[in-house]
Amino acid sequence: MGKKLRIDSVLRPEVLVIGAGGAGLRCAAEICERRPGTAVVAVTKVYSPQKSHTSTAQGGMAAVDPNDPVDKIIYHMFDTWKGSDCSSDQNIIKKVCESAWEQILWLERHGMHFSRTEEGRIAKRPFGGHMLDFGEVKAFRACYEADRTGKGIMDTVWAESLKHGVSFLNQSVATELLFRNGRCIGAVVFMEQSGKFAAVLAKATVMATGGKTRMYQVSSNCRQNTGDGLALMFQAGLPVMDLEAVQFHPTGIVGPGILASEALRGEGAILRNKDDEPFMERYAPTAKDLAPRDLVSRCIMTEIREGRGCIHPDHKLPHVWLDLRHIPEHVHKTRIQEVCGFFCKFVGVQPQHELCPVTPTAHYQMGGAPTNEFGEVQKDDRQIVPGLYACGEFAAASLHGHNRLGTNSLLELITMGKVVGERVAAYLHDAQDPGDVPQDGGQRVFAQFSRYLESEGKEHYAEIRDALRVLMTEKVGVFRNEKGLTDAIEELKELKERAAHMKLASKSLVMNQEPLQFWELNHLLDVSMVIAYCALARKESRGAHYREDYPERSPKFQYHTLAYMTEYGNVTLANRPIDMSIFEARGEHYERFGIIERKY
Amino acid sequence: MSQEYDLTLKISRYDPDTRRSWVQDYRLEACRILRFVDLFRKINDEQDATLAWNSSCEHGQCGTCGMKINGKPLLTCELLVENAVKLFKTQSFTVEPLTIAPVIRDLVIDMERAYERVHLVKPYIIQPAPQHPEGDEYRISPQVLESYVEATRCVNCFCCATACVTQKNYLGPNAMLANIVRLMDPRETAKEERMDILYSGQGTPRCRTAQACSFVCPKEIDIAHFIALAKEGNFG
Amino acid sequence: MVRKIKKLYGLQMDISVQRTGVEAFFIGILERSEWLSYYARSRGWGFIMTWAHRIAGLVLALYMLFHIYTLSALYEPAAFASKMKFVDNFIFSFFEWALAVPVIFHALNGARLILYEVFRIRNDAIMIRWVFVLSAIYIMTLALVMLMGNQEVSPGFFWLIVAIASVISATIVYKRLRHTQNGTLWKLQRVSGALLLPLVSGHMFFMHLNYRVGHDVDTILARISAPGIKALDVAFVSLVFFHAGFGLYTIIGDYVEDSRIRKGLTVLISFVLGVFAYAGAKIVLSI
Ligand SMILES: Cc1cc2nc3c(=O)[nH]c(=O)nc-3n(C[C@H](O)[C@H](O)[C@H](O)COP(=O)(O)OP(=O)(O)OC[C@H]3O[C@@H](n4cnc5c(N)ncnc54)[C@H](O)[C@@H]3O)c2cc1C
Ligand code: HEM
Ligand code: HEM
Ligand code: SF4
Ligand code: F3S
Ligand code: FES
Repeated sequence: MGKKLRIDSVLRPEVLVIGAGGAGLRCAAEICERRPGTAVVAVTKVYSPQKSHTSTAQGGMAAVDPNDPVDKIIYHMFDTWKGSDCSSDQNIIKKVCESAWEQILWLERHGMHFSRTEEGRIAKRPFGGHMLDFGEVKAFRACYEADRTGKGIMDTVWAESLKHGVSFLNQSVATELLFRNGRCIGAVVFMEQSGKFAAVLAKATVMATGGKTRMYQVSSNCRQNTGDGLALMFQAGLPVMDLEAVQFHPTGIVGPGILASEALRGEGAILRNKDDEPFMERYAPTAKDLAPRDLVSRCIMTEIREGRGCIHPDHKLPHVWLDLRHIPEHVHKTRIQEVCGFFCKFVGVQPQHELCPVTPTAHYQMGGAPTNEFGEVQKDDRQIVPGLYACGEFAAASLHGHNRLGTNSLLELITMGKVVGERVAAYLHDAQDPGDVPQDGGQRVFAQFSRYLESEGKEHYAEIRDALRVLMTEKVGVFRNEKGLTDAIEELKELKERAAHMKLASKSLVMNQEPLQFWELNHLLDVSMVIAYCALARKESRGAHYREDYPERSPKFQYHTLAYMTEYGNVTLANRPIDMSIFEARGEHYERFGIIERKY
Repeated sequence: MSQEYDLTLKISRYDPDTRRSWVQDYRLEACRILRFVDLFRKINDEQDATLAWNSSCEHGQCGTCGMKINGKPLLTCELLVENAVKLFKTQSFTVEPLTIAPVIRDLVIDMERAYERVHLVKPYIIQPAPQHPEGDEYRISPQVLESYVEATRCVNCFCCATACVTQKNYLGPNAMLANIVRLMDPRETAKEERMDILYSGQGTPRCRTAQACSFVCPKEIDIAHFIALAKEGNFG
Repeated sequence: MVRKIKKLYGLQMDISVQRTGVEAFFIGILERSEWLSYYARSRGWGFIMTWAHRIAGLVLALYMLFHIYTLSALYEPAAFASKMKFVDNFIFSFFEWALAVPVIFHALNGARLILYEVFRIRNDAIMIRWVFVLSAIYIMTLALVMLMGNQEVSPGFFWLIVAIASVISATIVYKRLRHTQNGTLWKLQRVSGALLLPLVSGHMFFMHLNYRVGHDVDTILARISAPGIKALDVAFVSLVFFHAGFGLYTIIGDYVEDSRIRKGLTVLISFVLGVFAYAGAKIVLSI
């Protein structure tokens, strides 16, 4: 081809939001509310912001209603702390849990169609790990919009941004962050539809690129969740935090990995093994089927490993059953209609009359870009990168530590999105102009794309991708051990080597998904490598990170892992202390926020 | 009991570089519960990496993967091979992009153009109602919510707009729906502005009650019902 | 009214023609016509009905042009009579009979649309079936009447009933539509449809029931010299041309994006149909 890649246009908004999902757009809306008329450009990989992954979230968004006679914010804070296996930051817990209801009201006032109680107020349902009285009885704390809460949120924040005149670059990917003297001044964006590159220069850049779990065989994440954001962080020499903490949702529908939301278990669904035994009673006598995700995932895997699981006749994957047959018909018809429809649509099962096959599915990244409590991205455990912010699933502030409670993620997106918006609006006040595109701007991605365009190798993209998925599922999945992880690191190196020899079938850049897939695969490989490294280094089990060779939590690892990777396979690790401010403040119930046992 | 099907997909292709369009046949074997998006992936992996198509969630929740299969606009991530064979009584399928916007490549269309129609109806609360005197959230009784909640399930996949008899000068069923939802929503007060959009030349007069929208809607929204409510002028 | 969720976990993909049951009724035709089943399966019966409605409307509009043209021969009764002689054979009778298909289909389907849109009659599968059943009855009765030859039914009585029925149906529709914010012409399209429903179906029926009234030049001339019939016919012709004109106008709006071309075409159809409506009115008034 010999076509020289270059930056075709330059955009100069005040704020660049990379990732127009729930978090990114909540942030954009906040900026525009505080500073009307701010020029914001939001970039998204999908057709339209509305198609972002947030719209698939089903269950709900946790928030303690101050009018609730029994629930208290302190219980929510405790549940989050306990759920995280004592590895989330207490300043964040406090901040997020306290402003939760306010954010529910924000959403409601901006048009979200929450389900209602008879009095016309927002209805709430119980959800895994959310309890009253410090873990005694289940709490009604998840505000929901039938079984499409995420969609409600996505529609609301998208519409709000639209109202404020945010401009969108759809089907575009941020390919490289731009810096000047350590300050982030925007990014190079590749616009798929035209096949061109644009430099977006902004005073502030917010990253909210969401999750990354497409490197697993069974994953609930959308096709676009390939860890691009994290890869951009590595390339910029910035750290990522707690990547070893990957949550597996216990009840993915066998095959496509689509979630059968906790809402089902919230409404009374029961897990059974092949002998029809409701096995969760054995593992978690109090919480039973509503025990936290990591625990349920491991229980299911244990059942399967010990021969009490079934094999799906079509997908040939092992699974257990989810029993919905005893749930009253009106609940089926109103509250869980959409989720139950999944079984019908994707595996041809009628949940009202038949058992549904489920298996753990890779679902959520607890870790991500380390930020402080204002969502400012950190260079190390104390310094921040000026002009660069992060929120949503992409960021780790960290609310979730090593394990996230269901419904806390949507809460985090919205609250942290708002916090970042506030912070950015303040920063814009006297932020300097970003100046021009740096000399070497885009050189890295151009080199990469040119390599794809010129490569004549023999390797197949699909083979490498599938190999990666099998590898990650087997060796860096629900259960991990020293040998598996060491092997995985070696194999990942091989895969990376092979990935350098993939050849394009068509060299066009206009809406050609192939080079982009190559580019995404590279990111998956990068991120997988870091996950494996972090998992290897954490010689303990904590939350979703479970080491068979170290099945207990250890006080030695009472910190967040920071990881840098400037060169493939060359990972540098560091720590960030876990914030214990609630405990240290010695307020009421502070003792609950010490290093406690996590038992349900 | 996994059954294999011998399928033929006749896929519409378009190459923006040469501006050539053609139909290409692909033959492949697939088990009964693969979805159409899986078939496309299979084609990419095994036969032709250049075939461009789009999807995102693959949960049937985002509305990215709408295409016309044997003429019927639907979400390809929801269509199992088994069901498709049952529905169309054939193992040969034509696959075409939706017709509401220009094609960019193969099965990928310019969704931004399609969305322009939705933007016209202002899919947000234009003028919020005053707060409830006791504060906190607005009170909306479940009965009121129930009357329009079905319409809030729309994911803007544009299947309805593709199926509709009216293709031009029309907001399209889904944009109409977005407008009607806010007319029925007690939190919106800018009803007049919405009415103007609703009854304008691009609104109700363009709908011929063909009900193809309700027929194809993957979210099973009875769109025709809501549009008829508008014609009837009675949203209660 | 709260709409029921259609099907619990409705596996929509599984049901070839959803919400109809009509397909069971017409399965025979369906299976033979690949073209129909393609649309029934991909867009549903409502879509086919809409297209059929549109085609029938266009056929009727064309027929009206032709109709006024033939009636204009009434200025020269001899010429009219010879024309009538020419068409008085089996083939033309068949065409006349066949014309009843678009007429009654369009009329009843129009009624169905009005019922669906403004009377909340949303069990459409049943309504579609009624359209077919009633159409079939009308067409068969018409055939029977045509075979029986001339009958002597009191025109005054017949027309009185038809006129009353028209006024009633139009009033009901008007009352329902009056307070809505739909465009005036749009409302008038519905109201005129409601008026036309008894009028056209009655007209056509009567023209064959009393065969001479429709075909014998003297009888025709005698009839239209009555002031009551004159008034009725003028109302009839203006309603039909308004209705057809607005119908065409909406169809143009569906296809032509350029507003200048749209305006041009609108002016053109208004002019042509206006001329014909004027000519039609002049015939009954001046004879
Ligand atoms: C099936 C499912 C159910 C869930 N249910 C719940 C629940 O009930 N409760 C709960 O609290 N949480 C739930 N979650 C988790 C929650 O939905 C996610 O954590 C959350 O939606 C993430 O939102 P986000 O805004 O951070 O990212 P996303 O919504 O994923 O948005 C990321 C955005 O970034 C864009 N992007 C990515 N990379 C790039 C790039 N390189 N350049 C430009 N743009 C880019 C994407 O296109 C997208 O627009 C669920 C998740 C799943 C998968
Ligand atoms: C007999 C009673 C009639 C009734 C109840 C009736 C009813 C209707 C209705 C309700 C419509 C609107 C359809 C829509 O826009 O969705 C319509 C359209 C139309 N009608 Fe009639 N009509 C009748 C007679 C006629 C006659 C006699 C003619 C022709 C001379 C005619 C020509 C048309 C045309 C051309 C359209 C436009 C069709 C379209 O928009 O696709 N109609 N009719
Ligand atoms: C084949 C069947 C038909 C026959 C034999 C027939 C015959 C006639 C005759 C003889 C007249 C003269 C006026 C009178 O006697 O009242 C007339 C007028 C009229 N007919 Fe028909 N007609 C037929 C079908 C239709 C149809 C289908 C329509 C509607 C689309 C229609 C619309 C009219 C109108 C509007 C007038 C009044 C014309 C005027 O005022 O000049 N006719 N018809
Ligand atoms: S109404 Fe239905 S078909 Fe139309 S865009 Fe919405 S979800 Fe898709
Ligand atoms: S298909 Fe089109 S015509 Fe109306 S009822 Fe639906 S919008
Ligand atoms: S990919 Fe989201 S609906 Fe099909």
